[in-house]
Amino acid sequence: MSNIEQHIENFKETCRRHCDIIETCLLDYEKYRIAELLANTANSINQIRLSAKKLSVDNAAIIADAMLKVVSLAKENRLDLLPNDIDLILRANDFYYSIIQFSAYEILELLNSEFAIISEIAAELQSIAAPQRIKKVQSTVVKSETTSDEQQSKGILLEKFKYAIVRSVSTIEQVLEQSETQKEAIDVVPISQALNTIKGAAISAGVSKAFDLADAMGDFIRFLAENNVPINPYQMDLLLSCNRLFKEIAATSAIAIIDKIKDYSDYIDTYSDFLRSFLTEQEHLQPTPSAKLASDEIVPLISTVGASSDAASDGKLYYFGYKSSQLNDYSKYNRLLDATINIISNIVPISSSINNLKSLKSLIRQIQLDNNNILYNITNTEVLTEIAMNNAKKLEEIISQLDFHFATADEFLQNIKNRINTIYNGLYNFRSVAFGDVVRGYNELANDLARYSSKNVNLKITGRFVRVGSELYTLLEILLPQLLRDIIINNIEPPNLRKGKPEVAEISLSARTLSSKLLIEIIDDGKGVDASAISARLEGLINLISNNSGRIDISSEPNFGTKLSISFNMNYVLLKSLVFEVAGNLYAVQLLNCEALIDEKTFHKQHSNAKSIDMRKILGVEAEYIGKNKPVLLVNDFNGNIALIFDKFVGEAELVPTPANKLVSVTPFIAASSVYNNKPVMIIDVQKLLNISVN
Amino acid sequence: MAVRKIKYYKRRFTDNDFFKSDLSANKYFEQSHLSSLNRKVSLLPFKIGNINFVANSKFVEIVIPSREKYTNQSFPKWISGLIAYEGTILPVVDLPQLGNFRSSGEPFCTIIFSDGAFRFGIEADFVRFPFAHNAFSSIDASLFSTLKIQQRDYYFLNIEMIFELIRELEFE
Repeated sequence: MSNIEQHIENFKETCRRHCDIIETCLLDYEKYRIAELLANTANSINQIRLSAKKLSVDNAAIIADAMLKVVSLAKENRLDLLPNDIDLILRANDFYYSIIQFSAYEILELLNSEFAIISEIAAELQSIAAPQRIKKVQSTVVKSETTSDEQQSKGILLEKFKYAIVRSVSTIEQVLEQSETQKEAIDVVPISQALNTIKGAAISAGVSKAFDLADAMGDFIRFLAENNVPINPYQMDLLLSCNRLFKEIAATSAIAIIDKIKDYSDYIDTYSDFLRSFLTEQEHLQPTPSAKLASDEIVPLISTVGASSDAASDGKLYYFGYKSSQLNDYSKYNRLLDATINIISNIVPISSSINNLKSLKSLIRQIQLDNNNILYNITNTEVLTEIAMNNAKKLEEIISQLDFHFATADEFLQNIKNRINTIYNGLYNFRSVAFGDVVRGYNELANDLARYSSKNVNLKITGRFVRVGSELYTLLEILLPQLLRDIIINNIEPPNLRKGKPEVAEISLSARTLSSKLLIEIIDDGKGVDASAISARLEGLINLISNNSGRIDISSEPNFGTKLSISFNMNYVLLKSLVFEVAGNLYAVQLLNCEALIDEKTFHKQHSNAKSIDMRKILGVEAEYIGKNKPVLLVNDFNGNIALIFDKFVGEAELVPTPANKLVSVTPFIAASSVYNNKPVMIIDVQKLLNISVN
Repeated sequence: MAVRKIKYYKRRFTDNDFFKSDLSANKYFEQSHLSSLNRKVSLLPFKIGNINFVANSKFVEIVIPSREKYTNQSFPKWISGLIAYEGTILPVVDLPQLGNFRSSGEPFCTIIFSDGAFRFGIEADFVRFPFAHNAFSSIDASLFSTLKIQQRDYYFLNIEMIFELIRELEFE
């Protein structure tokens, strides 16, 4: 009897352990359809079935048998499990799950007496595995069932693959280290030989991931050598890490290699993506992106003006030829990546410091115990002094350790903070570009265009520090050169026809942001023609602007020149601003407009002649602010600095502007609204404010 | 006997008809035969000063504690200011000013109303639990109409009319 009880206990324990596994595996299988989950399920069902058979009760294993049949059919791809079928199996699983709560006697009685229910569940399960639903054995199934010979050959191939890695890795490492220490270009031949060995072995062993990585490494190194591009430390580090990955893969036994590669598959993907991304960036930079539109379009236009076609075909007019300084653009990504890696490496010592702090805690516990000893030995002075001496020593040790760990943790935290700042600034720069970067090289472009069309032009660019949303960068790169070209060729007269005007024509290109809008103005002092004629000529570009939710206004006056104003909506532009308080309300001024922030006393001492605007008065607040020293913001105007006097300075903030609605724009100089610390803040358009105050 | 104790507590919801069938044929979404006039609406009661108001709670998005407002003298009289909520800026309607009531002066919470396109807030002294009431029989087209619910006088607030005002204000 005790033997049966033991079996029942074992059976209960098996059910307890495996029913959970069956349930999670089946539910996951329903979601993800991964065949391995079915294998796990089948294994667990088999465990239950075996322990049920040991009970030597007829009905115990009936359900498990039926379950196993269904699941193994599904595992062999001969049966598609529908959601209802999975429900049924789960119900059957619940039968075993619920058995746990009964005593041994009850379980025996239940298994014997409730044959009806058991047979019902089993019949339901058998209906899943009905003959009409079972598919015939497919050829793929036969393939997957590898014979022992095949398994053996697979093992040999993996062994070969491992050997290839071991042999090649050291060669690659040597070559890379050599080029790193001697600062030479990488020797391509031995590395590509080694990589080819790995690639060949990986293909025959069927390890596609390793093939991908080796391929990416090979491509990258070959590209560097072919184009004479020097390798930077970060890329070298990446190559070494790839190599280290291969080393780690080779360190496992041949059988475990597949699992190891599965574990590392994320790393492999990331590394090969990085290597490939360097390639695509470099390839992208070589044949400048807009070279397509350059030569075809410029030549005929210039030839109509009269310039020689030889001069034009010399290829100097590629717009992006003027942007050679941007070649190192990918270094931005490297810097961010470098900072991220550094943060991760700084976190490791911090976590080890925390672990050490845990050990200190146990030391303190010991001291507590000693204190208890003191209480027991209060009469025995010798023991007391000994304990006290020991404790003092331990305490000193603890304090020194604490100091040390705090110092290290602090140092690394500081390091992390710096790196996070780098990342933040980097991301900020990704989000927006300075207008100066967009128009870099445009002066040379204008000069060249003028020379080819025998004119004298001076291009004046203002607003170089205005941040342009990254989404507009490419658009402006296409748009602005074309507009400039059109203006120089069609609007500007040759010097001998510029009567009453300076010989050198002036074109001004300016950018400014107004709330969430970017305003670009191109003004020239050329001959000026009918605005409708210009719009007909620029139809393609105007369509381009309107397709990108922009707007262009053209105004032209004969003999005085033409003005093109283009505006774009910018989404998610952060305005770096200073936030002030006036009469309990918050106002912000863009940092772009600010000259200096000083206090009232300094203002009266140093800028006694400067004009000042009291914000309370201009906002119509009658009561005067009673404060000792109000903040004064100097803003730049064309005629000198003007001071804005606020009540309080709140802080610096990056605001996301929302365009002003009718309600917000009742105050004419408020350009947009935003939210700061859960309070509404109004963004002031300084230029409008100054105009109003002058009037 | 013992089997009855077994609970199939892990059995899942398999009544897939609920999700599959189209709305017109679905028994769960039967159209009500009651006309809209007889239907009961859920009302949110709130109090400003000594006056009890109710508003159709289908427009109520959330009730939040009162926040600091941005005020401007050039705003219309019935707008008491702007508040920030979920990163946007909403107007707060000054109900006492709109209906010539007296307010207590220190509102405790702000009720945010939304019709999907526009949002605004109304400051109230306190808000009670919503209840269902057959309100439509006694409502006219004015902004405030009186209602007697359980021997107590309420003003039914026509929120749709306030949305009309807000729409005019936000669109140029």
